[in-house]
Amino acid sequence: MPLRVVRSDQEPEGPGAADAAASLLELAHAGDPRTGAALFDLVGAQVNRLVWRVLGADEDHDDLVQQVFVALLAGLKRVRDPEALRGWVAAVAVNTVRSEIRRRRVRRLFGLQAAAAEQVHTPTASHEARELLERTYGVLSRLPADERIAFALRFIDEQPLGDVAAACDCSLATVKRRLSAAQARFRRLAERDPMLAEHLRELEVKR
Amino acid sequence: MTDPVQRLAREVARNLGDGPGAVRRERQRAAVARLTRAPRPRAHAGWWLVPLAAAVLLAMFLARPATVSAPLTVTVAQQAVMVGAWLAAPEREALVLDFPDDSRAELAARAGARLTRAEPTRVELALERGALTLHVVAVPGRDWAVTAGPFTVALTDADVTATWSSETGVLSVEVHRGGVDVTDATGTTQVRAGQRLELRDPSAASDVLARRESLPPATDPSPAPTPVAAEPAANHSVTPQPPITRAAAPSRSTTRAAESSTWLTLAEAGDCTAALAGAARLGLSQLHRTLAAGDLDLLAHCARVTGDAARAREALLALRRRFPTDSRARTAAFLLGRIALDLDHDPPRAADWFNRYLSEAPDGALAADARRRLDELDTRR
Repeated sequence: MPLRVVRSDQEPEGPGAADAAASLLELAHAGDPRTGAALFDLVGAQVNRLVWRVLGADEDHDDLVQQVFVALLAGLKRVRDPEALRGWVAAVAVNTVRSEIRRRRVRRLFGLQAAAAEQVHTPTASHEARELLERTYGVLSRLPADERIAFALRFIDEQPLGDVAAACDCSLATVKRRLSAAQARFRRLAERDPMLAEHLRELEVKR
Repeated sequence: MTDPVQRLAREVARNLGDGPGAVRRERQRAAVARLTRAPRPRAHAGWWLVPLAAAVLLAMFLARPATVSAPLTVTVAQQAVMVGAWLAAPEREALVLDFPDDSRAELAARAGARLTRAEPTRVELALERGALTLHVVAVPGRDWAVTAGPFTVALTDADVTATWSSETGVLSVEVHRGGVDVTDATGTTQVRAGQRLELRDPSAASDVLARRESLPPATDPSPAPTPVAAEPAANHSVTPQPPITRAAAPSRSTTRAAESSTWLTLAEAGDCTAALAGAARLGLSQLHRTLAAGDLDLLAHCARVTGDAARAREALLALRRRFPTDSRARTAAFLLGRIALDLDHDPPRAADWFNRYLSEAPDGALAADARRRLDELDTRR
């Protein structure tokens, strides 16, 4: 996968982050056993947030995060530019999540995975909020993987378009097309769910 | 951002947050750190042992029995499994691993493990959650091991079920045939057929306590929890000593606080199965009488997610009985309808509850959903 320099408009990286990334790469290239912990300290929050927002708070979250880190550690030595690290991490996380979405779809097709596995577990929120999350992620689970990821990164995680495109390894035009399709498809599917449909109407009125 | 779909997405983000809490992240960090952990240093004094060991190993390799030399292929549903593969059993069915020597490993529904080694002389599985049952057929020179947290279960010819919860740090080992050795930092315990051993990782218990310190105090510490301890299976008197008694022994009140906080912590972390089991250990009828409305709602949620209709219903009825003016009591009516419909398959009772919800909250957030479900129930009739 080609590495790109990606910087979020919302969260500009400071010199400290660049230094930390450079130190991490030094550890990785030296085969230092502290690399795993250092990598998690640097990008653990980023990976957690990305997986959490794309897939919701499902039960396999920790396993997926672990899978992302296995992939990251396998490829870390190939990263030369510290500034490219965060973009590369996002791309690896998106690839892992995309594979998981497709794997779940196949398992569902063959009846190996109950729909309950897609359930969202956010017990600290109110029941209405839980229902909203459950139904929203229920609709999202029916979108094609690429559209779902673009939708989640752009609208739920509110990442800049450029970051979404880089993480999805596609052009800006492609990501805009995916977003437009995802939005239309989401709206269409949400209209079939009374709670979501009513909620969307309320939000429309408030506009 | 004016589009309602985008506004909805923003609302979802607010409710969802940025990821799991500190306890889970710390556990993730430890797991990632282990991926690049340094090998243990070897003693320099015994350097001459290296060529000697190499010579012995070479001799053993040359003299190995033919049955052990065959490559070990592990399959799931006739598909080969790679070493290192993550194995997760589906929501409602077991996942079975077949070994060429007719041994079998069965991951119970929702359990997860990793096949870490599958060599002719040694098979290792790392149990990460849930129950794993092994039927191991003896093969000369082949050892089996199941690791779970700081514990290792070693066997060569036995039927055994190991159940592990990383949230509570509790490992349960039940031997049906043969015998196993369970090792942790404090020593090795032998468990034989018909015996059951339950051990707790003291560090996991302290995690839970530390997490709970920042939460409000338990509503009622009175219920006496069942302490985690070794318990023999029926008709057996041998009671292996659990490490919790060998480690710094917690006071009774500390144990009780840990027990009562554990299920809430588990529920908050999203592990509904373990949370419900923890709550059941405390006594559900006691909890129904003492929990706050939010915690009752949480208990009902856990029961509903795990498909336990009876416990979900009891918790929701307790919520309605004890907090009749709370808005969650009205929502409970809707949920009782969902339970009757989805879990009990009892449409008339479901219709009663949906109607009751509509009478109590005609403009509630779930009113449209309740009406749609009532329409569907009418159509079915």
